[in-house]
Amino acid sequence: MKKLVIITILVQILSLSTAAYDFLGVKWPGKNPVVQYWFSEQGCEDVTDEWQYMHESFDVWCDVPSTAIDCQFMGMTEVNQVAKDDVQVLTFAKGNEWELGPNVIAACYIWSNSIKDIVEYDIIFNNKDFNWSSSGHPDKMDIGHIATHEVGHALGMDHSSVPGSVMWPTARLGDIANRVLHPDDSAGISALYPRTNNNNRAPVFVSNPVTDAIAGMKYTYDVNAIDHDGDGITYSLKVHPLNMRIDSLTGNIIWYPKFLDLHISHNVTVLATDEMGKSSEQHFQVTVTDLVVYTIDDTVDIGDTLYYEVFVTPMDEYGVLAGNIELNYNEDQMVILDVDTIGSIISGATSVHNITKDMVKFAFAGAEPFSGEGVLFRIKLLVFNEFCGRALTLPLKTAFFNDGIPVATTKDGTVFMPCGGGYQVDGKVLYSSNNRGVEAASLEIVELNKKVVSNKDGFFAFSDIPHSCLPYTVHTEKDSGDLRDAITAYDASFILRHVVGLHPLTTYDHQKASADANGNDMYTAYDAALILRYILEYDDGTEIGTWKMAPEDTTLKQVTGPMHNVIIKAYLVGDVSGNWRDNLGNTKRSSTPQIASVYKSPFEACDIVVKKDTLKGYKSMVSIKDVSKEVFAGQIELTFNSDKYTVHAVKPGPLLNGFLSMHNVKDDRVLIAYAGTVPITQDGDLMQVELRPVGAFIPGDTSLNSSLIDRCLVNEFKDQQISIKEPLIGARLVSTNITSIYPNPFIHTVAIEYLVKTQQQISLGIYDLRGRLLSMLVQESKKPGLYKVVWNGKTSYGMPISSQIFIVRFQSGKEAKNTKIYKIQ
Amino acid sequence: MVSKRAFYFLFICVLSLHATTMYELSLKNLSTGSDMVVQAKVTAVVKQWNPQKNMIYTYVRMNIRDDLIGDDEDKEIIIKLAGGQIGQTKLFVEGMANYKVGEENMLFLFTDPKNLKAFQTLGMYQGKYELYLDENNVTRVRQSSSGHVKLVSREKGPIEKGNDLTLQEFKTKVLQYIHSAQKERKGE
Repeated sequence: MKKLVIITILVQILSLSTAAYDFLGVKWPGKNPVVQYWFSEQGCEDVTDEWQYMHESFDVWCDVPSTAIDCQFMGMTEVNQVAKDDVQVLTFAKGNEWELGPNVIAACYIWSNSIKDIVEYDIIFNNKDFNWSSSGHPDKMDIGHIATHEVGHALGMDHSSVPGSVMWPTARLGDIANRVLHPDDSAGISALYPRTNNNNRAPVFVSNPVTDAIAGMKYTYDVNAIDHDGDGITYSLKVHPLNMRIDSLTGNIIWYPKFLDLHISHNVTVLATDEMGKSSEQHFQVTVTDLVVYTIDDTVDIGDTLYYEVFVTPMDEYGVLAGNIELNYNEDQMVILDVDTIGSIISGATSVHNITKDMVKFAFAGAEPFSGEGVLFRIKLLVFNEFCGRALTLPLKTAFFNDGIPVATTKDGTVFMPCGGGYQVDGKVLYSSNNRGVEAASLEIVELNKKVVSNKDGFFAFSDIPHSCLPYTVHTEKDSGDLRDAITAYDASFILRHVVGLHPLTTYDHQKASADANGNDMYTAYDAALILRYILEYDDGTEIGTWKMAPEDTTLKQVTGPMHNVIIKAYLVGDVSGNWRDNLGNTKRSSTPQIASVYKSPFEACDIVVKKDTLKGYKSMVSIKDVSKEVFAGQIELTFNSDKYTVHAVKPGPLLNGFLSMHNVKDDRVLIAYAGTVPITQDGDLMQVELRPVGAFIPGDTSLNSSLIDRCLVNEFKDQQISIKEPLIGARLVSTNITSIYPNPFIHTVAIEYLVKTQQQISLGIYDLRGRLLSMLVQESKKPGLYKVVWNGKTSYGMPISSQIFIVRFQSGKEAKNTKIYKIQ
Repeated sequence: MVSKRAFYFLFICVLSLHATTMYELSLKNLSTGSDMVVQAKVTAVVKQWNPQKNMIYTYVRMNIRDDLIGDDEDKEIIIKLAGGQIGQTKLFVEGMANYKVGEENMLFLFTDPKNLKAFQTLGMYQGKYELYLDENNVTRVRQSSSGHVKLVSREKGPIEKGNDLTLQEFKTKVLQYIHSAQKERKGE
């Protein structure tokens, strides 16, 4: 101990005087810090034995005898990114996973919570730009060489001024010398985490004492202890019975108990002492008994009988002439066929037996004393099939020899009947709404720890399943992802229609559950709103996009043969319509008729109000036409040049009155989603998008018109179904109609814009819900063009009207269209 | 007492060191390997968690004074560095250069692979040269000194870094390397 302390002090003094090794200034906290590490599963592309050298890169540091730091491998992980995530991973980065440029070879990211304590680290190797070797290839980086250096940093070591040390700051291709520590490195890690009396850990016993001994027989117990500091251990006996010995190096205890030791509990204390003199004690008692009648754990196959043998330890010293033994069994588990002494050490004696419903009674007697060790008698039994795989105990109730003195100790045995097996259990994971196969679901037979993954048809198969009379549990789960565009605004419309009683969520099992976006067992408009927010890429932490199994745990009753067609249903929270995988491939798509077209008008200059100022901006109308089916919902993604413009407003058009609609601006995209209960059945305007220039307003700026509708869904049909038109001159002049009503709801005034395609008679009036005309705003012949009229919320006679819903009736020629507007206080 | 303080001071000065292994880059390597070579002034330094709150990045906003390859003078660029301190949490990544508002540098840049609007310096600290005035008030350049990294050299003998050249000499040399590389690519 003294020696080690002196060495440690010398090392510290040397470190200060020579300034060879150095420290980062942050270190792992605690007396005996344990540095954990994981390896990323994706590994290195260039070698197959990288993990061996990575392990060694930790071992060389933590195995230094005079250091108190420990390294602990935690296992493999899917994590392959640098992040503060409690997983300290060593990973080889490929492609875009590597972000430090082409000349950086490896890096260690170190997290600290203050100046002093390291809390986490990750080490990342550049497998994008560099080839790695584990054999010192002259043109490649050696994994062990580089890893040992980086691990040194992860432990808190800085560069050393000693050439040739691991922490020396330069290297060459193909170097392998740093796989092992230089004395300077060992001195450094010992100085950073010195092991002293304060943090030296005593050995820990890991062996269980043998507490039974038999008079006249050799007693042995292999004591085993481990030392977490890596010290050598010596063993000694502090308290022990006469003649008990222990090997100080191996810990093997040997003792020959005498008959005088019978029926006495002997106290034993074993000491395990490390190199620094720290000891641990293990206390136990050894009880010495005499003859032991025992059975050996045995096995029987299904349908076979078992010769179950009852043994006895040596009885040479005893002069045994006779004896009787009783053994219990459970008649529900087995049937006893016979008892015999064929081949036993008392085969020449007279023996009798009696088999009752729960007991085997056996007695023997001879003229000369018996000697030796071995089988006394054997029981022929048959175990019932349903107990396969279970351990059945046959307790020895009594065992007497001669006239009952000495009394034998008994040890019970068990019968174990292995099950048959090799059975296949298979089935499918199916999507609840359309019975399409669910791919990549993970299934596990919990009791067997057997795991499989479903294929693209949802098919799974467990092979080599053992026979079992007990149930197995199949746990099924699936990671989030694999959404396949199943979650759309159309799903939100389902919920809204359910809420108002138009469309109960009973089309398929679990449809309601799939609508429960926030997992609170309620199905409200809030769930619909959450779905729209999910589509718009808000992160509300909901369950949308989460796969659920129904049930998560499927019970397989007795598996006594192959089992097929086990069906497990799955659904996806958020896919209320249940169309997951319907919109994949060509089958559904090609047979789906086009139900509408979405397009946008060219951006044109407009006035926009920013606080109290009116500025110049640009506006474009996103519209829908050729509506051939009911449109309950839709999504639009518009891309614009965010360097030049910002989004000022996205205003719902008249078609979306009564719709739940939202938008979100993400970088250079405007995401729009809308869902409603009363469908759109006619052409018209969906949204007006207003942009502001980042710099000065440029009249006639046409670059805006290169902005695109990148993605567009009508109901659940993908954009490929929709003809998306680039801005066309006059594209909006496709029909005579109202193009926008803004604001709606309104407080004081509302502006109504309308288009006229050909010259015709136009009338535009405001009516109340009883059909009474309140104000006629337009009633004249109009030439083709875009018009705007403002209503001040008063009657034709100037009378103010209180808050309510009004009908805007727009009539062109003989065709009339009604739209609702809302006045609020 | 004073000497003890000085000792602690020196000790504290080496606290923020970290761990990276990389190639030692010459001025030619830097000139020919960069997407962009600029003289730029730091206008802001911001440290941010990423959206997942598991990484700290430092974003340096700079104004370009001179663009040696392109024509982006007076434009703004963002330099992205892994690491930084927010509150009590600190992430070290050895070899990253340090930036202060107001300082002016010559920078050798490549486009960040995960954020095409941001750049990183080539070879981490090696891609950053600080401008300073010598005793005759002549502007010179010197490589940033925060490189406590393990350098792997590919070449034998001393490597030309261009340290302490005048700014004009430095730019001339960089342009010569760039033009030579362009000619080689064209096969001239």
